[in-house]
Amino acid sequence: MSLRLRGLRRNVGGVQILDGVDLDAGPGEVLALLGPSGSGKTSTLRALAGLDPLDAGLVDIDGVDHLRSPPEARGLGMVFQTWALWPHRSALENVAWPLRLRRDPRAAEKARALLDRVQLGALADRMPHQLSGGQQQRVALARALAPDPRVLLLDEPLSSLDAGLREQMRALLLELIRERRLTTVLVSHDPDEALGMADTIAVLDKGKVVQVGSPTDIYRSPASEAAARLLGPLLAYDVAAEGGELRLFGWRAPFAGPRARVGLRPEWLALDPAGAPAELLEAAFRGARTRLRLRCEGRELELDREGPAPAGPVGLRLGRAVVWG
Amino acid sequence: MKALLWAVAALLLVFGGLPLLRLLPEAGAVDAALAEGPALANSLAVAGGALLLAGPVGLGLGAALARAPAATPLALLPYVTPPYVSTIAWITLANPTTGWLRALAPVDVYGRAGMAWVLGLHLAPVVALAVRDALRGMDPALIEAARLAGAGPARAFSSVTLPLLRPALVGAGGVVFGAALASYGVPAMLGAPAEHPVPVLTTRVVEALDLGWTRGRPLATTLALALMLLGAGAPLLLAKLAGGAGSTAGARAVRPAPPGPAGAAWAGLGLYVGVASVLPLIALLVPSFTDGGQPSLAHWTRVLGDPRVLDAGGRSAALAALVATATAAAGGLVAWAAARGDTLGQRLARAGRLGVAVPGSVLGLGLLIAFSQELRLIIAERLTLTLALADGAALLGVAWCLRFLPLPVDLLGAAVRAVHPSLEEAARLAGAGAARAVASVTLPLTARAVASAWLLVFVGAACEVTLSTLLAGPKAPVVGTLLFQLQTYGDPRAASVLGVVASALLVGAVALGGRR
Repeated sequence: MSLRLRGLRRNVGGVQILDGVDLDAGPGEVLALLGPSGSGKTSTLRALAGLDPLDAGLVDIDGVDHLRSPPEARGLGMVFQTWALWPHRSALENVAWPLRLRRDPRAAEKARALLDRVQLGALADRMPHQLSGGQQQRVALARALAPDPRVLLLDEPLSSLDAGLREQMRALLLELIRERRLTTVLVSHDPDEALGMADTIAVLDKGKVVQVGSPTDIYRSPASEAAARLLGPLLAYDVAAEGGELRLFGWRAPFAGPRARVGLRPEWLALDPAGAPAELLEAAFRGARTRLRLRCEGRELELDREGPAPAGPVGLRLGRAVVWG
Repeated sequence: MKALLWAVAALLLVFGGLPLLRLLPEAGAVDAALAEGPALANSLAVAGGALLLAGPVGLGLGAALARAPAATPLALLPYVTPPYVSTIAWITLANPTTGWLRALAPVDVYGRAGMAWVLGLHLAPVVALAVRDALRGMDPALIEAARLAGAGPARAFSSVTLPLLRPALVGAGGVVFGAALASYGVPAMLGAPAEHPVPVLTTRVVEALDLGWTRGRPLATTLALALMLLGAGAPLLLAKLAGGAGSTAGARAVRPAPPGPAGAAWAGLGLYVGVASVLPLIALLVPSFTDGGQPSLAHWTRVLGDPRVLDAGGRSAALAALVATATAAAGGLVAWAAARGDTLGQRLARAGRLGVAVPGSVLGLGLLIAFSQELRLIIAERLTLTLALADGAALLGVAWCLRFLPLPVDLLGAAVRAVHPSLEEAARLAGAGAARAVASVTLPLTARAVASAWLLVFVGAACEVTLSTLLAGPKAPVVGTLLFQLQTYGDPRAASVLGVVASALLVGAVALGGRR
């Protein structure tokens, strides 16, 4: 149940879609591929599934190279972004068909059990168009799990759902992944999806893996400004070094060069009257929060704060920052 | 606007509805009709054979076109070429005694197999277009999901792609069957040999009329009604046999990734275009440009200088221009009203389809009966004017209007739907009346579609054969009748010349007008 990808390359019409992608996922690990559109995350997933051809590379699934295997020979399960339920088959038959292809005599029974597991037992005989979006997705998940795949692939699994369903579905997905110790690869451009589900995140850009790490690592120490922005709100400034030091809103760090790009998450900033003095330009009421527009050290920034706008003098204190050369 | 719409409705009722209703009491000669069993069997065999050929060919062609949509015009050539022109070509190719292909295999284009062959090749693009659109509307992830579930390419095609194509295949199959059943020109030419004639229902309708107006009319009407019932019932039966039309629900196209290898797609496409287009074209061009085995323009100068050709050509062009103008105007009105949610407009758009759904021979017979001289006294004075022209080209003009009205309704309907109603509403608020708003906003924005519709109707009517044969009197011949006479009565080279001209006109019109 492990996965090892090495040097995946794919060139389409002169464009290097994949430019040497290396990735690993151990048994039961959830690996999220994150990146801007065109970064190669979907191409990697489709190449891994055998849906798109690769020019070169190693696709090692459980110790066997599947570079040239057709999709049906790889033993994978996949939940498509559009779910792709076969519209001419009932929910039950959608789930049972992969088992029937394997001549499993207990196909219907197993499919029913899986639909029960995703709480759709009562709707087993419905056709896909008679199911809501969330229900269709659960059928798609049950179908992907039916033949006991070696690796589960998820293509933007939550993006087609509305906010409420998303949380439920994420919980169900994680439950099923954990109870089966399923090695999982998911593609996402939604930071919540990636941060909330993955054990490991791989950030891709221009067909290459630019950073691999735990969600916390990547959130707190992103390797690039682009990677940082993928995972959540970011403030970034060009800062000139003074006396071998970078200084910003009361934060300081030794630095050798003349200037650097300094990035910070808004929550790393605290309001502190004793910090770097700031001017409050505007305070906009947002219900539980207040959006403050501040000027500090000649830079304007916006900051959300719980509760009402502060009274009296305002100051900023930055506890942590990331420096990119 | 509303008044104009009602006027169109009244015209459709008088010239379309009434003639079809008038057929019912005319039916008779049941004994004679029952003796037409062979014609019925031939009709069904030819339509079934055409379907058996057009189905698989169209399926493959559609899969190829889904991969290479740019090749669609090429694949449509055999459909755009009038079937009687293809027939002339296939007679040259596969005549049992003089055909070019005789050296390769014992072929005989005359008879049921030949009719099914010509019609099947002609109609395969109908299936292909339906398959192409269904494939392009299909989420490729459905097939990918089948592959990941463990199915090989063949299994994925038979278990997922084919079932999902069923609605398209059944629908197009019904159209093919109906069109083959209604075809007149092809069986008239290929069922003609005197030693073993192969009658079908459409040709028998026309032949029955040749028995004389009073003697032949009841039989012709009964056969026409049978033809209509079959034409309407066969698609339903087909859908039933195929287990219901079904629906391609839940498919959301994201990426076009049709199945099948590209090489095979191109090879299939090439084979079809070669057999259905290039070969017949050569078979038309060579005889028309040779004389006694030598290259020669003699046939062209002879035919194009022939006063009969000039006379018929002029009449065809004038009448077709009139018909194109009338149908573009009426069709535009109906399409606009329907697109803007007017109930009457939507009903008219549907009712107008009868002109295509009803076989040409049935429509022609209905018009003949309803507006023959015998009825002059019954109908109001206003209509006697029309009746006075019934012997000339007027009745043919009416028939062509009914036949071709659906074309502008469809073309302009799509164009009008693309113009958001708010554009007209803005013109209204700016101070324009309803007619002014349409004329100054919608019409300029759909001008291209209007021109396309006009051109397609013009050329389609000018090259039409079935209605022409029935309705153009001997005193007012048109191109269709002339071409037919030339082929049947011994001047096939002249027919080839006219066939080339007709095909070139149609292909040119579709190339010009089909661009959107």
